[in-house]
Amino acid sequence: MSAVLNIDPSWALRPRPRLAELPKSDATRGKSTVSGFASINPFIALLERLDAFLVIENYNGFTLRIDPETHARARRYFEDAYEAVIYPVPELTPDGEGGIDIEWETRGRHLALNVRSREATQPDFISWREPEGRYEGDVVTQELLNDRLRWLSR
Amino acid sequence: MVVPNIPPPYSCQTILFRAIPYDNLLFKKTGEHKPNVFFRRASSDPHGLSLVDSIQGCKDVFGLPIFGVRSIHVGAMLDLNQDLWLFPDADAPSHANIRHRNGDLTPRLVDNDPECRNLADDLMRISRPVEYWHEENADERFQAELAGKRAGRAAD
Repeated sequence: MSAVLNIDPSWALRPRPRLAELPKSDATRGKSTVSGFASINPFIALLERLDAFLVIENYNGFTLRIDPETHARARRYFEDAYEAVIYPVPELTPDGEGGIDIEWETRGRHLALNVRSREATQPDFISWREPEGRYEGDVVTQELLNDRLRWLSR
Repeated sequence: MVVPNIPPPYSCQTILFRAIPYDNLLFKKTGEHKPNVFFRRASSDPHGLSLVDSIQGCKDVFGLPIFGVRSIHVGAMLDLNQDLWLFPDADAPSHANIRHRNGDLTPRLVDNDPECRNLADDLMRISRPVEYWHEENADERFQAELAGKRAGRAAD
């Protein structure tokens, strides 16, 4: 397994704590334990932030809360992509229609993944652009997401 | 294609405003607005990207407090060369919608993800945050500052 890193080289060399690897008593303690790891591991921080959108209140007529299916898909994307590589923590934004918009930005390169709500008939989508460029994109696959994250890190 | 041959409902000099209706549209660390502000959404923008003609109007549109306001210059929007036009809201004279010139709606993320993002980036580039949007006299202050800037330019 190769370890590549684009921001903080020290992370590439450290074993990444996984929720499943936590001692059982800690894992069952829930968010407070995760928060402890979140302070030292960007992947755990990312999952914690994603989880928050399961319970967020909708606001001003916008659907900010994501459904469990959307959450699970987003989590699977992250778990696979971050398996061997620690990428920066992306910006998470509810799209207001029950989906979640996930955006990474590195040196002016943008990569955006829209994980759609279960009501949406369209598949999840990924878009990217070079600095000062225009977005292009495609229906997301895990392979494409991983490829685009590597591109972002180059 | 029906190309409007009438002037837009506002002159090119007009400034319109876009509300920030929920706090996730701000970067937490800086408080700056995300481009997602200009993503069209079915719930708030069913007839086009919604703009209003005052800062107070932005606050009045929603039932709960908003989190910011951006100003957008009508002429700059029309100059984007993205085939955009302003369509007045027949039921609310203070309100206009950005659509394509032929009347088609601009895409939502689910319709055309890259085009939605490109348009949002364009509109972010030509719009500005109103830093004092929360003040009671924000509209008066904005118009006074705008008049001052225009007077200064005219004098140059």
